[in-house]
Amino acid sequence: MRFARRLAMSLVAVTLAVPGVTRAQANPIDDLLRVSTDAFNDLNYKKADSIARSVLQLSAATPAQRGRAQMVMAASAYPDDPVAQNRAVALNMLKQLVKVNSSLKLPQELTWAGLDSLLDEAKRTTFSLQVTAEPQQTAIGLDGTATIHVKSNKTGLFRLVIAAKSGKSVAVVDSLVSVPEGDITFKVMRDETPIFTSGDYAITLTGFEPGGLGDTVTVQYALKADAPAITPLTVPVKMDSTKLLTIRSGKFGARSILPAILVGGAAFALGSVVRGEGDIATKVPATAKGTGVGAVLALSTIAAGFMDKGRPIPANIAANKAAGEAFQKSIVDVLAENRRRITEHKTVLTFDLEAK
Amino acid sequence: MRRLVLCTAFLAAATQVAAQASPAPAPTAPSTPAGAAKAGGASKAEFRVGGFMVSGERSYDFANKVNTATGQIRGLEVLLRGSGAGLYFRSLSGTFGTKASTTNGLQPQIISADARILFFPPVFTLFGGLGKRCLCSDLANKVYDVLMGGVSSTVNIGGSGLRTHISGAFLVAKGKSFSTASTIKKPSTGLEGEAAIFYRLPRVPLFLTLGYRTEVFTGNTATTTSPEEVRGVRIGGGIQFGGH
Repeated sequence: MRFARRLAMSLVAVTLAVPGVTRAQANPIDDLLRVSTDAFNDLNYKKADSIARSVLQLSAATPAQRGRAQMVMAASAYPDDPVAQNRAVALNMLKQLVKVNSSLKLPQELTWAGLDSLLDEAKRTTFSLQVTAEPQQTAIGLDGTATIHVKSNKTGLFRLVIAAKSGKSVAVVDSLVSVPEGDITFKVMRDETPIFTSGDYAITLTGFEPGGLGDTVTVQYALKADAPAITPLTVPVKMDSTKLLTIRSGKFGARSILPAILVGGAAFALGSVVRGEGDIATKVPATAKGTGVGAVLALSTIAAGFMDKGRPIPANIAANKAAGEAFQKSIVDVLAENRRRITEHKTVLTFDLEAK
Repeated sequence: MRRLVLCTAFLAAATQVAAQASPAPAPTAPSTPAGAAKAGGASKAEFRVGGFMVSGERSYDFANKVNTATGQIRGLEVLLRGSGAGLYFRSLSGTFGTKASTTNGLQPQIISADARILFFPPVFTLFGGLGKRCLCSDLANKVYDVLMGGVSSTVNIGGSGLRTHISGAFLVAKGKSFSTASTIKKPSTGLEGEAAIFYRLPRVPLFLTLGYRTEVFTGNTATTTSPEEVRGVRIGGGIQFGGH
């Protein structure tokens, strides 16, 4: 055991220290797995198991490498040698593998009829969960969605949680009920706001096997989101009244007094002062009508002046109307642009579906 | 002559003061969108067709005897003007007195028509024109070919729709005075003055007018001098486009 671990560490250290070696060899962990498989084929099951276990302890090991190590461990625990068999350990290891891969097949160099039977048993008695998805999905706009396909060997309840790795804020929670297989489709926008921001997320999918003794399977995957934030334009709420022109001239007011005096005085003069020649001016008396009319004219003029609201300025009214329409249009334009930014917003989700 | 000087001075003063009161103020907005007007809003062109009636009296001095009768003058007028010039036409027909009355005896009918050319803006307008003036009766028709010149001032009272109008004209007639020709010793002269307000109704191109009108005329022949005076309250209305 200690030998195997030292061997594994040494191999990894040497490989990582010499870049040329790294390039020449496929992968040091693969080498370990090959050594482990070779040990198994040499009927050295303990050594094979020990090396495989050491691979599981390496954080650099990929899920596929871990799966391979677990297969070696299962095979080492249940070889075609009744003396070396430890059925419970092998079955437990196979169940762990089947949990996340219901269609698991053991490599020819590791298995034999008895182990295949044990694998079948593991498949029968294990609640498995398998997740697939398009590796990269692009969702656009309000109705843009992404889909994860869930497959199990039994009917179950499947719960999806997607949470940001930083901050642990939950982005998506969804579920699939009473089916052995189906799609969980989730939107990438909520309330016209992107659910995802650019960054890393963790997908946690948990399957619950129905029944009191039902099993629970939880798998975790990585998700990378590329979703630029939507920056809406500010919608103008109030028109700048300082840019509006006066639509009426100033009130005439007291300026009407002079014209009133003049028109009234003129009427008075026409009735009293402007007279015909000869005896007309002396024998025909001046009429009071001119005075009366003059008074009416003067008072009317003054009243009109003080009641005056100012003369409408059509050009300014038109300019203000145009400014108002331009303001309304600017609102419409901003809303349309904001709408466009929402409807055309793009979220790119990159799934890493190798179980962690 | 004194009357002429008095009227001319009055009108000159009136137009001077009116000119100060008339211009519409510019808008006070701090900034101006493109195309916005800087000033006013008053229409520069004006077209007006109206009818009017002068209810008053006519006095004339014949053979050192002054006769006065009440009556009416009905008239039509057409005005067409731009900012600096215009045309004005008017016809009048007036009847004073009644045939059977001893206190309000029938006088010759007054019929006149004239055309004028207007210069300068409404607030101060000089005009000149030609016309005919006839005193028509069963016995004879006195027809005068009249030359006239004068000044007028029309002031808009803001946007109220009301306008004040003052005008005065000097009339002079040459040529034959009687239908039977005779030698003229000196020209016939006269004065005509009006003071009125015009109110244009909102939203419809109609106007109403109220004012006072006086016309004095002295017909001269080789042998006779016939002063007359017509004055009365002027009311009317019509159609008007522009002018405000």
